[in-house]
Amino acid sequence: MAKLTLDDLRKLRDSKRQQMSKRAPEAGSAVVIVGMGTCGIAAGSKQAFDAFADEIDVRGLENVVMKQTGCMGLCHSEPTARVVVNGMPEIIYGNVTPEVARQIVREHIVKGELVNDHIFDKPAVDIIKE
Amino acid sequence: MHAVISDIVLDVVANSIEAEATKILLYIYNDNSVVQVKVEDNGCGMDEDTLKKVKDPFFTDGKKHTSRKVGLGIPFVIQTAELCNGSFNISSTLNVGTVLEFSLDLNNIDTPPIGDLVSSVVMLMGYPGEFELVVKHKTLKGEYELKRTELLEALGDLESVSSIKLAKEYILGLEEELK
Repeated sequence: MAKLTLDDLRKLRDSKRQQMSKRAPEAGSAVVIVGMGTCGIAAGSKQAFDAFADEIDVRGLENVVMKQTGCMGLCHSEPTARVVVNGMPEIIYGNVTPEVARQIVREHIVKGELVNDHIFDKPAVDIIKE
Repeated sequence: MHAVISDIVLDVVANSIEAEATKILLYIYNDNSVVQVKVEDNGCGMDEDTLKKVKDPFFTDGKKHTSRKVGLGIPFVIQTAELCNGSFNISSTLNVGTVLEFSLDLNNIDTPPIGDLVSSVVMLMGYPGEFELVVKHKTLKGEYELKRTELLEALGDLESVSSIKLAKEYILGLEEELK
């Protein structure tokens, strides 16, 4: 693979912006926030993050963003991911292995169906920084 | 303890971000026998009393959430250093910043592998907040320096999956040159 330069990244960014402005706006948007506290990292949240990003990329989903946060207070169920999809209830998923991360993308984000086996509640209010 | 050294790096730099540092330097050196990591930040720092307590796995600042009873990040680094014939040091000044350093003997059978450093760096670069993170990685083959502000300027963001993918490819290219 040829090595990219910062200039290459700038050019790719500009061409991506041109493509986005030509495309009609899509309904629905989503945010996936992966917990990155010590508990999360130890449980494999890096792999979960990578799996989310890869599945979103493979499916060509343009309006999904990914964020990191610290511990969400569910250390016993790490890795955790908070999924916010336009028009759906905000959900925290626990025990998110890479396979579960891909399942969440396929079912929750694409089809609008919750992955019931892995649902937890909302995190404590004092943890979320908006 | 963490399974790989790149997870330790992710954890300790996340500490600096959570300490509201605006400038963080992550320096990594490795060759065939040793890996050395230094994280320097200008975050809130700690007084002498807190600095002693952070080595205790049952100490946490109580700010992240009130029900938590452990703070394992730094104890994990200390445990790893002790198991792997390595070294650890942390120094800090309240309202000035913190320096954390550790080194591990790569020929020790208990030393974890370095792991996926590219993913760790991408995730740190993408962590929300207004901070500069400078990553310097040096090996016998050469070195690179990567600045978060430059990466963000080149990509526009680090939240869209397309930007995350490009950032990964870029950093992988930098890492490949050091092997």
